[in-house]
Amino acid sequence: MGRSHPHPAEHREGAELNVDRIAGLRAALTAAPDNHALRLMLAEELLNDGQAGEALTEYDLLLAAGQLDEHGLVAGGRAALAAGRHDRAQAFVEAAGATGAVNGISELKREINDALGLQHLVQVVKQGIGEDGAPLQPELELDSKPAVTFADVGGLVDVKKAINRTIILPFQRTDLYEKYKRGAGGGVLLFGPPGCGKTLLARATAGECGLPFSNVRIEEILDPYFGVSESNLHDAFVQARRFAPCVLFVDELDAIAFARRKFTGNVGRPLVDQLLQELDAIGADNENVLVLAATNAPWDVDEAMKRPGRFDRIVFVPPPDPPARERILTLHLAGRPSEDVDVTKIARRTPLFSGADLRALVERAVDLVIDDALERGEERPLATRDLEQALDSMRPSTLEWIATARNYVEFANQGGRYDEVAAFLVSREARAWKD
Amino acid sequence: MDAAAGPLVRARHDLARGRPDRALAALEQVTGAELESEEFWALRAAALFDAGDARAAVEAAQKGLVHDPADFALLDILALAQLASGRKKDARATIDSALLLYPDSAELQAHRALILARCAQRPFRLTSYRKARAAADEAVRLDPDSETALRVRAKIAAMSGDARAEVYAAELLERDPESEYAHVITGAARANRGNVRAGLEHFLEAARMDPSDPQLAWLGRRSRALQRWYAQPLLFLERVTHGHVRVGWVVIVLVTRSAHLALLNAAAIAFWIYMWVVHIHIRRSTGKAPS
Repeated sequence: MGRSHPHPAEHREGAELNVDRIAGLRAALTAAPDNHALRLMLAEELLNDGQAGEALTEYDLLLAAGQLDEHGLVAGGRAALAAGRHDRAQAFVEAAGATGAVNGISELKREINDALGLQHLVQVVKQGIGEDGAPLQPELELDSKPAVTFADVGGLVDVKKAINRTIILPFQRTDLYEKYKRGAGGGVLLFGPPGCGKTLLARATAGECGLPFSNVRIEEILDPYFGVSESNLHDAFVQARRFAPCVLFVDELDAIAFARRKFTGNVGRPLVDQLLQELDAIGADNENVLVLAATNAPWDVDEAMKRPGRFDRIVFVPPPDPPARERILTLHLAGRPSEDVDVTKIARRTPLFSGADLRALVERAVDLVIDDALERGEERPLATRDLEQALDSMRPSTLEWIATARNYVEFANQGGRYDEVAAFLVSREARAWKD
Repeated sequence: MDAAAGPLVRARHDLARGRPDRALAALEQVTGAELESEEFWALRAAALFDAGDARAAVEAAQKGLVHDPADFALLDILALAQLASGRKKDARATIDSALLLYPDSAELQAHRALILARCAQRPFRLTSYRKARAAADEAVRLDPDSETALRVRAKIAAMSGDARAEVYAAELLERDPESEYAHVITGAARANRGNVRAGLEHFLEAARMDPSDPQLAWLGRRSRALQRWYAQPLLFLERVTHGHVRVGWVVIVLVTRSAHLALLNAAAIAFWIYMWVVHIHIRRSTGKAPS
């Protein structure tokens, strides 16, 4: 029987050898920073040495330079996983998909799912498949994206606290809630300007609860034939109930549950009635189905939806706050050649900017750098001044929403339903663009 | 779950819910033969018109009419979009052609009334709403239950200072007490007759019904400002003069000057200054009317 573990002395020798090799490679790279083969060797050595964070930095540089083959992309993904950076691991998978790489990618995807606990959720769903492989009942369509948690959502501390108290705790402390005969599940409505992370928060809520997440989109529900839209909506709820506990997310709730008083005829009413019936059923015989919904026009949502037992918990998701903007900017800048970008300064100068606006800002700044490179014939990294220059010609896309919300606060805040928005509107952030 | 609805279905759904922005986004995804259908162009023209881009709506409607020159919805939206983009003569020609094809349509007749009313408003000329009123009456005769026809009739009556405006507006409100348009027309009818205080309440109610409409929100804001203490004498005099306080003021100034009533003349001028101060203050606090 051979030795299963190296002798401690051998191990120590090997480690020392590795350290020497890493030091040598670093020295060589200092002399030739554009040598991608050397950088790849260094990354591999760092990964083998357990320095996943450092290895990831090198793989990121190679990825940005487009110098990673199939093997390198998988290794980069593994380095990201080992460093606990699921978002970066996903970026390597996506890059592999873009280049058409297949070898080892599905394994990497599985590793990411395992790391996020998604594999368990897939198993839960697969329990509905019979021996012959045919589904015993309709499958709950899980979102294929890996689960995210609140750690992946930058900033928005107050919103996360509110969601934790009202939604997550009942799932995590079932004993306590059962004792007081308070059931988990029910409906929660997230509202706020477009592009400000409502869907991400809903996904993160599901991740925090450790529940499967199913996204119901209006395109999947609507059908031109009479009664089919209502039937599609019913099916989505039937599936969710079968796989409870789970999170059913209804995006653009106002498109499905548009205020019936605003309709002149009967058009669209059956769909609203169907959703009401489904929501009422949850309280009766479907505990542990958490229905999350998002809308950027809460005023267009039928009043009946907001009554107790339906979407009775309403959470305002404001535009990203400065820490969230910093994080979003950092994410968009990652992998691009940049030099000492003062992200904090840019985040401070972008009140009311949505996530989409911040991405557009970075892209505009990149365009400026490219224009400059073409004009001068020499490449330079993205700098703070490029972002500032791009910022001069941009306005946040949330302004229109803010103006409408201001009107609702002024004229239709009966019962204090928009008090959270009112408090936000008097904040310094919200007033930055008014003055 | 596979996508059940195509972009045209989605666009129609969003348009019916007052979301032209989403409808336009859905229409961006239309490809292939659907791009050549009149339904696509009718939806696009309507969405652009609702989104406030009247010129683009005219173009879209004209492109759709190439595929079907007799399409009812396209002709109707083309006429309204032409009117909104200031092409009054074209709008009138379009609606007249549409009425030749669909003479029994109350909706087209009502829109013709609206176009005639706008055509009647010309600078430096006396405005006559006779033709517009006749067209609106004809629309109501064609379909007494048509909401569009009833609304246009009440609107033109309010615009022209017709004494029947309040009756028409009350009829609208009775049919739909939650209609913001009914409240606006009622408010205008009452304010025109000098009952500004009651008119302001209706404007405020309209703003409460739909604050997402910037014009209604502005109207509501202005109404609130006019309900403040400093505007009360103005509202009182509007009531006394049946909405003709400015005419009344001119008469008083002329009479007091010719009769050498210096004190009264000074009071009239002071009132004139007061009116301007209130006007400027309200304008500053509520801003310009949104276009």
